[in-house]
Amino acid sequence: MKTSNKVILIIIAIIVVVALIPVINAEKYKMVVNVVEGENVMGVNPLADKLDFGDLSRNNGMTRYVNLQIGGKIPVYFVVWKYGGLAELVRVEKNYFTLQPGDELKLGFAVNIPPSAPIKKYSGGVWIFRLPKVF
Amino acid sequence: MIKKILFSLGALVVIAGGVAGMSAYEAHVINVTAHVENALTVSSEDLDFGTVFPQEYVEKEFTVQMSNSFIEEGYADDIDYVIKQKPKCICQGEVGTADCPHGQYAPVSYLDDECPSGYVKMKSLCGYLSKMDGDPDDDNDEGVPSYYQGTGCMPFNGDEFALGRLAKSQQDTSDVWIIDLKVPPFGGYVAQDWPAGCPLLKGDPNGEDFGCDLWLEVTNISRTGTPVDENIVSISLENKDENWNVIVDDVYGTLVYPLVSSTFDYEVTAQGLQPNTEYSLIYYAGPWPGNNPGAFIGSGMTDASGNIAFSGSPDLGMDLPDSADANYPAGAKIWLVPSSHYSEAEKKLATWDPSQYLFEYDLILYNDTDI
Repeated sequence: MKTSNKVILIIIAIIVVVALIPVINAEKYKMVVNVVEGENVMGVNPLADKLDFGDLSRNNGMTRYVNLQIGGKIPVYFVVWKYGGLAELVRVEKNYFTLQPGDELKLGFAVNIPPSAPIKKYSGGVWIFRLPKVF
Repeated sequence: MIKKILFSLGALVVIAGGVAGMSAYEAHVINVTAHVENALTVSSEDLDFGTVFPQEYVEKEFTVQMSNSFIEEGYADDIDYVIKQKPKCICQGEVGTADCPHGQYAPVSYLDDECPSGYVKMKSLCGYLSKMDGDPDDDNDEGVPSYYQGTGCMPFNGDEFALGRLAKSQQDTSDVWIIDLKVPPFGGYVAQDWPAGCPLLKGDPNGEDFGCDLWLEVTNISRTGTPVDENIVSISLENKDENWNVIVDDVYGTLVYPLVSSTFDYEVTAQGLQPNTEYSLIYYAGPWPGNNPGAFIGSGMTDASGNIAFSGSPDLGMDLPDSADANYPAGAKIWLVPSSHYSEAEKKLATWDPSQYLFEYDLILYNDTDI
């Protein structure tokens, strides 16, 4: 193999490594909400294994929180990405932000069920990327 | 050809190793801990009292219940929650534009109770709302009555909490709450039957908007022998009243321990205790004073806020409960008590003040494998 090809391969390898690390280290949570019949019904599931917004009737909302704490010595930049059918109903209180060493933040994920929402279970997920802010 | 294959394999190994190594290094360097909180808030946007008139009485109700997913969860039992009142924010800009990204109304921040940018707090309705238990038969909820008592008024300011509890073990998976509003009159427009000393509203009596957000916050989940894995379980430690009913408040803890092990590898966390006080985790083997045979398991100090966390791996030298225990074979009592109330040498309580203790939510079982 030519030296130039080797260099290209090494560069590609570095790019792959750098690109994969934030994905591997991202905090990943499933999200789910069950839209139910009725008025002012709030069925809660406070278990912490996922962002379960429980059973909600239309026109109701619920906010769940992910606690973020910086234990290292460098600032960290956070990017929140949500996906799935539930993503458009969920509002993230804060996105594209930096936390300093020692900082702690309760990041809110608020779901609001519109009055026209079909009665069904919605699911999705959220990835919280954390990137060392060196510069 | 073989050389190319080997080179490709080598490159893959290097990349995989690099990703794993760099990933671990990055995680170590930035050291972010993240977890989903048990606490959550619920807001109903539909408790709209509409147009009301001074001294009019109106009420609405809503239901708080366990979700189907929580009911189906085998190891979770009870939910303790509070209903708070917080200011409601209204957008100052044009609704439907970028000025009002949350719509016309928005809740305050969970952390500092401040409105989002572009929003201001509405005139508060919070002090005039009651939160009454709509299904008192379950006998485990505590509401906040109306400020208006007919012949006088109670000095509420809107900071009063209602306490609620949902418990699978009591077949109580749903609570109904009634929110009532007795509209105060505006100053200068007061009917003669309005009791002296009751609040008066300030402002324009025609067309003032008032608001208040009701927040439901989960404060605790009780677990019944929670299988953390096949052998490790977690139980709640609770303060209890004179009838041994759990007191629903912010004083509670958690004990994690193995069902089967040669040593009792436990972890205790608790909050709401006496600050800067040493507490002991004990096996209380009845009858009084608990040394039948009883055991001292471990101890730790609370911080200035009354929080505590400690762990250990003592060899108890017995199963729990022991056959001499009055509670044998049902289970063992595990309590968290101030160390000054306990004689470690005699394995018995020297003082009885249950208001300072946390008790096991359910009797526990433990199999010591090396006896």
